[in-house]
Amino acid sequence: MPLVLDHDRAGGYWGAVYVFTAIKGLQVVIDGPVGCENLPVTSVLHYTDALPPHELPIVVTGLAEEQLGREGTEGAMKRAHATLDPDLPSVVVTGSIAEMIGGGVTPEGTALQRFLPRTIDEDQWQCANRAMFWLWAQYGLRHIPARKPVAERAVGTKPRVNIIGPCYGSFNLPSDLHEIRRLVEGVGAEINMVFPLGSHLADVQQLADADLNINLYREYGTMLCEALERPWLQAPIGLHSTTKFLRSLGDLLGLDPEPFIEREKHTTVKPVWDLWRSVTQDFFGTASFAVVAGETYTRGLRHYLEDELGLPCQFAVPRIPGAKTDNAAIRQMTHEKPPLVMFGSYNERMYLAESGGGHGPRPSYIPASFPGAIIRRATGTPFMGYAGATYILQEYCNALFDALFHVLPLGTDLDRVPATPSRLDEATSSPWDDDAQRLLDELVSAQPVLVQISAAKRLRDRAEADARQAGEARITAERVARAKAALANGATA
Amino acid sequence: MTALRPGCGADLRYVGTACPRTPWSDDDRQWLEARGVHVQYRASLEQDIAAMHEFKPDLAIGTTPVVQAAKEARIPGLYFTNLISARPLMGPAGAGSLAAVINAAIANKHRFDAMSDFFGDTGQGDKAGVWTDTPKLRPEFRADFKRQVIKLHAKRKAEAMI
Repeated sequence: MPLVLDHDRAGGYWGAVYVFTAIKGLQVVIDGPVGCENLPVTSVLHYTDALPPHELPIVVTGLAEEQLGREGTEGAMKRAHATLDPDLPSVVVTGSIAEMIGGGVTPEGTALQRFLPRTIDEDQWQCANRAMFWLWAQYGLRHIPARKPVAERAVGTKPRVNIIGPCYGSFNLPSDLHEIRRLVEGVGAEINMVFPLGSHLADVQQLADADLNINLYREYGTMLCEALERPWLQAPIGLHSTTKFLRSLGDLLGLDPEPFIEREKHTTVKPVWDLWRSVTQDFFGTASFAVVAGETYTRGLRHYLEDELGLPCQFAVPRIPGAKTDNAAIRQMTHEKPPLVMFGSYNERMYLAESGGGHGPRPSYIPASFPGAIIRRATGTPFMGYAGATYILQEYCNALFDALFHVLPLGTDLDRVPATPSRLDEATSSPWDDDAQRLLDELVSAQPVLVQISAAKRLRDRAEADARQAGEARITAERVARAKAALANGATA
Repeated sequence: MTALRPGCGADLRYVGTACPRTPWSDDDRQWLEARGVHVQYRASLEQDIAAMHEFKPDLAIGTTPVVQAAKEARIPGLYFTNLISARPLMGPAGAGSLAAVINAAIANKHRFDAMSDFFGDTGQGDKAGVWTDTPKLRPEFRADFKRQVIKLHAKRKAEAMI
């Protein structure tokens, strides 16, 4: 087993940078060596968020040997700070090198604030969690007024809801945010703040004006939700989960969610009902999936697909904040029990590609996580809410159709096949050994039911043709095994 | 690469490079300067961008930030590493393959105009970044903070005198 080192998240200071640059009115100084912003800001954000780096209010101290060995980072920070807008507040975040030499000390006489990402110990999500809370601790209220009871709300005013968690570098954020906003407004509440993305530093105190908070991700945001002293809900993934979410929302806000749920049944989420009653549903029980993604998506997808829809789950691995994912184990599972549909990141796509086509359909890959170069700024690919339930099921069904496409021969391929040998000597057609038949059955039943008929035919024909060519009187188990290997290698007869 | 362009008939005005001036590139420098090209060794991003604004070329070839600044200024741009250095450039075939890329980029000029006319100052200054609604500018926040910083400085000064 080779050493598998594939990363699945960034270090602490990336998380801090993605949170602090998401809120308007705050500038960020990275205390780190020359070029340390290249990956998080210039490169990765370009391939994930499609954002031009100069739209982020960031400057880097650009530490060189002098600072590391002799001077410390204070002077470099002063210089960096001088290039920013002097009339806006700034926060310093330290990279690992600055942390090792005790950097990040803010120069006297500047209004520079300091945030310590602890980037050696914490990962992107742990740090983002603290950074969101830090914004509230620095710019929020010391004392939060008590929540006004639902019954005392003035007539004609809508209850208000915060969506906590949106920041840069989050997979599929625009679609999910759009959907959760749609759900909140659908039941008759209004959005108070989306935080931190798109909010202004001047408005942080208004987080306290909400009647309820929705936490978009499990990876980060909970610390702030707990601090805000309001009931909070986790954003839902799945059909029934979304219905439960809407009813809780209605309950906590004194609203009746049923008219909205009724409308959704006939519109946004009707495709789930349609597909559930279709013949494609026949295959749900046997066409497997696997998911490796952030904790939010892994939990949500597994629950929706396995518990709510009854699809067999080959494996579901969440990437948990503060814990290392065993990518070697994921790679092994991907090779040994490949699903028909793989939800994951570039890593899982790589493991799938390594395992090659083999006997049976090529597994489909549906992007569900970073890392990977994938821009998801359009709002049409949600995983959360009713729209997400529809999108996920639609993509899953399309993956099944795709699997069939790769199994069914092309007309042009059919023309290229050698002529079917005549069966004049049908009576003497090679008999099958018992263990050969058993092996054939075993190999075929290992395939998804969706493609078993085609798989059985291909393997049987191949074994018989090979045996005939070799002049063997009987089909042996060894012959079947070799036919399987030949098909797996994609070699033609 | 740089010497190739005027050879093809392009009107080249500026060559910036992160490299220092060395004897090994001196032939190129002389060739370029003889044709009126400004050669900037150890060029900073600011120098590259200033040259781009000064000469307003039909095409700017450079690093990612130079290209992005050019496109924002309605000037077609090509990232040197993606499209120029990644291909073989020697001989007539090399120059020929480059011509298609260059001509396609330059021919985009009117599309850059149409895009810029539509988007205007979207994403500029205080409107930068990703928004979930029409950007709301907060001049009062800036003014408040400025006052706070002045107060902070005055306090520090007063403390220092004691």
